[in-house]
Amino acid sequence: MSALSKVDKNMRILVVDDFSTMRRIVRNCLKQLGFTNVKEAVDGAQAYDTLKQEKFDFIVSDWNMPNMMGIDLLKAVRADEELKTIPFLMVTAEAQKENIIAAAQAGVSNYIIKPFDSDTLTTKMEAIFKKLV
Amino acid sequence: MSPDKEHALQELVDALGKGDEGRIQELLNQLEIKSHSNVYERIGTMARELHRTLLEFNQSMSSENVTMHSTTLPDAVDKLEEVLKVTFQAADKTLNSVEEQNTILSSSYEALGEALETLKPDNIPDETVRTTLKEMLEAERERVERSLAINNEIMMTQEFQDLTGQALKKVIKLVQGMKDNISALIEIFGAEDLPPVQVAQESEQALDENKLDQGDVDSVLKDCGF
Repeated sequence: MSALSKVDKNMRILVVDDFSTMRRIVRNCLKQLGFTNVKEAVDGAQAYDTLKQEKFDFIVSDWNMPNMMGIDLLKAVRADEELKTIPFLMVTAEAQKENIIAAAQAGVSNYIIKPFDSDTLTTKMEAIFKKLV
Repeated sequence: MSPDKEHALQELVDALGKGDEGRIQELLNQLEIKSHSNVYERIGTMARELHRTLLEFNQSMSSENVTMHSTTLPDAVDKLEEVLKVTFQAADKTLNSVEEQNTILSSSYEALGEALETLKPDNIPDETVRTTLKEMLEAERERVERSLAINNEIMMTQEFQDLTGQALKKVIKLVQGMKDNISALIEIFGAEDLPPVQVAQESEQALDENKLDQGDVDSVLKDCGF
């Protein structure tokens, strides 16, 4: 049985991207996997405020955004006692080796390069939940 | 910088791009720029480069998008921002349609499933009729599934808007920066070195060449203990 099939489908997911098109695509992909309890934020700063106000179980974030970059959001989340255990999936067009190493060092749960397909998202989420379940 | 001087500098940049020597000299005199031929030549090259890029940009726009071609915009930054807006609208409209159609298809899928559940001997005693109906409903459900899969592909294709949008934002910044650099250069005339516009472009290219694909990313993640 897959790890994805065991997790609570009503978990709260925060999708962070400055492009609404990408937020909708990620939201739709998550819907296909059965996750419908999704909220959106337009940048890292708004995401961090939202995370401090509401409880979330999973974060999907872009890297390159105004106000607060995804990598800075990741660092802020990992440095925050209340938030540090939330799985954090980076979905980004930033595809330099340095980016991936920086994200890994900051505690990213997994990393997807844009453009991606729904199978890649499924595989990465499966890998993340396999470690947690 | 005074509005008059700024206006004159903008005119100078335009004249340099057009190669209008008479007007260039007039403006240089007006701006009290007399003897910096080397810098002048380099600025001219930059301005012509910018002018040519804008012309090529206009030509590519006209061949690829009739709507954009008919839209007269004052400068390249505005045009790029218009492209950003139009591609966003197109992607948004496509996603609206896909989502609406997915709702309809999902309802059909559920209804077909419920109909299949009713195909029992108590309801339809004739086995031949029952089997025929079952095959028909199952075939229809497969078609709905296929349609949902196609919709998914259409939806994922809209990623282009995010990727091209990010690239456009970088180009907008670059064009804006180049304009600002030229104005600043003329203002401080006499400086030996030009801002590294070309170097910045080369760096961008170098970065692009170093980009990894998902397979490479997974290898790096594996090395990092994932």
